[in-house]
Amino acid sequence: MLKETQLPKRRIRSLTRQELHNLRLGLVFISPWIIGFLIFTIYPIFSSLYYSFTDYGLFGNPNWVGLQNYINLFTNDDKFFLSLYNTVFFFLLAMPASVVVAIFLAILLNSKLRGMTFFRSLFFLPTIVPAVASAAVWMWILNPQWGLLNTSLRLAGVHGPPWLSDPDWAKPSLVFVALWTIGSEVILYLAALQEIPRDYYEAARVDGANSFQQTRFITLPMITPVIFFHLVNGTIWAFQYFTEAYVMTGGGPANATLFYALNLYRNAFTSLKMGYASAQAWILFIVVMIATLIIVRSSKGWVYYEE
Amino acid sequence: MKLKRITFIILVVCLVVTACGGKTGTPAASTEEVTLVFWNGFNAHEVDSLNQMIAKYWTPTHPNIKIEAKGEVGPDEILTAVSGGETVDVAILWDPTPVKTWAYQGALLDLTSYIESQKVNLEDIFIPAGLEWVRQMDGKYYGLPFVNFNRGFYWNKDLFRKAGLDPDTPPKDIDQLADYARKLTIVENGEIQQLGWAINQDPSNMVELAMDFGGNFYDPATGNITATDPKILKALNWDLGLANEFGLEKVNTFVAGFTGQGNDPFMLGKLAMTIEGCWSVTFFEKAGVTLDYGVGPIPAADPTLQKTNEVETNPIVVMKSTKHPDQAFEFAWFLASNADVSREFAQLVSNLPQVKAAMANFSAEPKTMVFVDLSNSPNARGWAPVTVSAFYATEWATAIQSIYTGSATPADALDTVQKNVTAEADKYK
Repeated sequence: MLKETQLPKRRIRSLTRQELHNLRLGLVFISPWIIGFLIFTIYPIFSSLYYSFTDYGLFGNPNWVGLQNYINLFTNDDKFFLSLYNTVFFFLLAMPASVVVAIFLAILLNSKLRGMTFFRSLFFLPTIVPAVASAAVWMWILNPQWGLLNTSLRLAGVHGPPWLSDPDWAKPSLVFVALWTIGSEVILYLAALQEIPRDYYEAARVDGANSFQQTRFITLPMITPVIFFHLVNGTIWAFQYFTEAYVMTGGGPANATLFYALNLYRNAFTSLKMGYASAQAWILFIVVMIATLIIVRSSKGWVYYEE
Repeated sequence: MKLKRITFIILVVCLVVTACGGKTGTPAASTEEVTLVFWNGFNAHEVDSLNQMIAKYWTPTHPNIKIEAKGEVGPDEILTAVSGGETVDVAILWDPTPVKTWAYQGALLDLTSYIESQKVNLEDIFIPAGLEWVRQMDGKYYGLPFVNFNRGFYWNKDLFRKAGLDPDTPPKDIDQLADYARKLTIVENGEIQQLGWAINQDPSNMVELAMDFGGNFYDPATGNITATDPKILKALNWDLGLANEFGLEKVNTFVAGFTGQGNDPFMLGKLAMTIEGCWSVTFFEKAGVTLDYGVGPIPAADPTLQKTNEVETNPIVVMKSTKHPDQAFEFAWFLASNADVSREFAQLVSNLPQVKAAMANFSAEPKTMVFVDLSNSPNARGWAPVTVSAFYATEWATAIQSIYTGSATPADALDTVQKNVTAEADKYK
């Protein structure tokens, strides 16, 4: 510890004129980023913390109310808990599904077949479609009567549910939509798969391992860093899930897709309760923080880094 | 050295420019030239026409008040911009629900004294129903109406003929509506092929239906929320009862099949009777729909409720932060009260005039004139022009969804609405 704190001190003392000049120049060059970060990230974050302790309607002055917003959220707001429940439900459904599907697709796309670049592009393509546009397309696909999905199901003799207009199916439907845009994660897994040295598999084959055992004991452990990354990012994404729900279901039917961020948005921009919404945002921040910390803590037990 | 000099020059120029910019911000006498920033929620081609109208009617008579217009801005954008210190003097919102919330939060200029100085009775000039959205319970005005819109009853004459009904006589009351709905519904192989009446088409239509049963969503005298009004409950039970007759699940599947733009079951001849907006007349015409249909007032539960319909407006508001309140009001008043602008612009956006003087000969299309007439009926009004109307609308939509998905009875759903909206409204007292 001591050593570390002493180190920079010594270095500052030994800065030459040239080094000082470079330091200054360096700071000037990164100043656009520093200034942007301070103004557009740090300042808003801390003002939202301040506003979360106030009653603030965007106009006029914020009134300091102490912890009242937080107390109201926990004691007098059914929608707060409902939206949290919906979001956790969505997270628990979407997160494992997206890990499994992304790895499965990556393994398929990693096989050596002709025209593989074509398929790789194909699966990445949905990622570049704007969320609102893909939401509009999915509303058509999920249309209970004439939609592509139910029409196909009907051909197979299955009577499909009304998807988005059924409170039980609305959340799973949105998970389908989310899985469609999984291209960037697939690319990451694909890159990780190609990093795995061939000789591991050769050695396993010599030892008589079948392909399932190879996947289980070589492939999966080797891509755990990417799974870890995906879990952390996916958690943050799932808790902030907004656009598709806003466009496709508007929180309905019967509040089945009233997610946390959508509820927050309504409090902020429809009811103009900025202080209350800021308090909600901070609770979300804490929840995501805890979830991320749990994943990070647990990672020591299952993420394997190659030396 | 050279670089330093250039930097210096740039800095000086910037200073001069900002200084000049600051000048226009000082309060101006009426003879001084003033520029008003005017934001509105209309879409691109509508904004062009609005600008043309301003150029045609406003600019020649008001050379000293220039208008800097920007369209396609929603309420959220206006809010964040203004609260962030950006100058917006006058705004038109695409939906009237935010006016009272914004007024409560102190975002809007109180126009009452300006309106009094006009020495006119507003109800003589404007269609009364549109005014409700901009007038507070205490009589204060925080906006002016601009192009109104409402909904009415549409029926498909061809389907009437096929069912052996007189195509020129729509159902005269609610009982006949139910009767016709049964006659016009066709079920084949256990699936609804054609629905007589638009059950649960959308929450706005359910508002209309409830009003046509005599339901009131709020008490105009006190502003209290009255979602549990027995007549609203009666309307919901009536509609749900009809759905249960055909099978709620079948109706839901049928209705859910028609979501998305241009996928209107009435337009496609799959729905015989429905409630649609006044704009659908022009929309059908522009879309080249060759449908033989009629429009009229929604059948009401009893004769005193005839021509009941819900009128809304695109309110013009003046932001409190404006530095030119006099000129801003002058402009807002001109746009709102000028009969030529009202007529031309309302036609253009398939809405209705808010000015009484623009009503006569408003449109050559008799169907549109039906809506003009409806909007000025004594039974025309806003459904819930209260401070929490946007919140109310969301709660109402949720209630309708929970009723038709079978997760709540109409009575329970209305109790929830009443409880939630009252709690919300209490925060604004």
